[in-house]
Amino acid sequence: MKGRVLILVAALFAAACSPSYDGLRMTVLEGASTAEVDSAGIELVHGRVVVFEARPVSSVDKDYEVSDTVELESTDDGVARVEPGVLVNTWMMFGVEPGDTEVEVRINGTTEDRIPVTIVSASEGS
Amino acid sequence: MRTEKRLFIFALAILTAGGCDDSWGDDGDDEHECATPSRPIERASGALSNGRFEWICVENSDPTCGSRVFPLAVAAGARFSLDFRTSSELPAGVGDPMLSAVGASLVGGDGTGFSAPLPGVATVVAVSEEAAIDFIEVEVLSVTRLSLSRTLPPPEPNEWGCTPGAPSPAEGERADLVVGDSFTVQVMPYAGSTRLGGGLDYTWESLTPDVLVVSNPGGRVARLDGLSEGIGQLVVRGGGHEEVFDVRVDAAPIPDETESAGTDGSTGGEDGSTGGEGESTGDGGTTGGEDGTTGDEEGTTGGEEGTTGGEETSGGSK
Repeated sequence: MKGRVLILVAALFAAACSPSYDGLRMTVLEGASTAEVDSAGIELVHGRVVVFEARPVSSVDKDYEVSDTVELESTDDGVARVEPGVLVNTWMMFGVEPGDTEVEVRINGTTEDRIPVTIVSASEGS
Repeated sequence: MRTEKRLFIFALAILTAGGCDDSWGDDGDDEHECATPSRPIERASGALSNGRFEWICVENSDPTCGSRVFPLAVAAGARFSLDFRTSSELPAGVGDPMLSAVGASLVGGDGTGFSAPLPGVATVVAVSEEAAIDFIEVEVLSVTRLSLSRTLPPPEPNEWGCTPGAPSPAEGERADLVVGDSFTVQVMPYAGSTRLGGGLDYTWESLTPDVLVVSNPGGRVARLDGLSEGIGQLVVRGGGHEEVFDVRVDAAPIPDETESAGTDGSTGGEDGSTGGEGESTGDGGTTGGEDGTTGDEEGTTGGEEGTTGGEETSGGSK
């Protein structure tokens, strides 16, 4: 019994020391001025590129560390493609074709989020 | 379609029309550069300053050939190529980038070159296997105007290879063609006031072959020969646009016999009229040959900006 309590306490302690995903803090660094980049959704004009920084936000006191691996991957490269930038936590998204897709957010290998992406035609976006 | 004709008149002298072209900027790479107004350097640098995109003209109809500059915009339908040099400040681990186009206004990439099928804004990205390194936006514009300028014999370059201002017709001077004479002209595509880069297919046609003959050795350069006195009409087509230019062909000038004939007086003037025509034809042939040679060189070298001069003139859109 005593052993089980210790395990439970240890588990709670470990959970308290780990960040809990609560979205991405996204900041546009360069690219299409009309692009809208937010963890709630991304909108980009066809043929344009946007570069943004994406940092995971934790809902608990424990924040994510640099050593935590963040991966973004488009579920449809034919609509939008996202590639890691040269700097840490920066990403480049290309508006390949008009349409809708999602960006899968993986942290330390675990899928934490899916961000909807819309690529609008140039005539709609201007 | 509306047809508007304008006289092919070289009106103003442009001192900067010589060796260093006025509208194409330079990206400030060379130690000794021709003194020209430069376009913003960030247009040649990638938007992220992680490297530099370099324009490569792939055919001599591209007005950027030989100018070592990055154009402000590309003509719809044009062809060109790009290269990318990664900044030495980046870590070696970013890998070797490949270039590719994003968007409908531009297609192609490394190896194949780029073509610009549609007006709009497209992006060329430099992406390696490890990271997206940089990008540059390319504006593709429809040709709305074609401009002609007469090419002049290239002035001697200075020690840095820059040519000083080429001789141009003086202000107000008409540089019309003379019967028996010839000169070469080159066409420049514009969208409004913006010069457009990229190789285009041009066709040249004289609507008045009895007055004016046009021959196009290739690219954007053509030779004009005046056959008889009158207003010759020249049609230039390129980038889905065509314009008509009127070229006045004047009678050969009559030499002043009072100077050449010495003290012959009024009789010499009459003789000069007859003799003058014969001499002018001969002179014109000689001059035409020289100009033609220059024009051929222009065509061969892709019409280097440094070897051109003279005034530009716009024709009437059709």
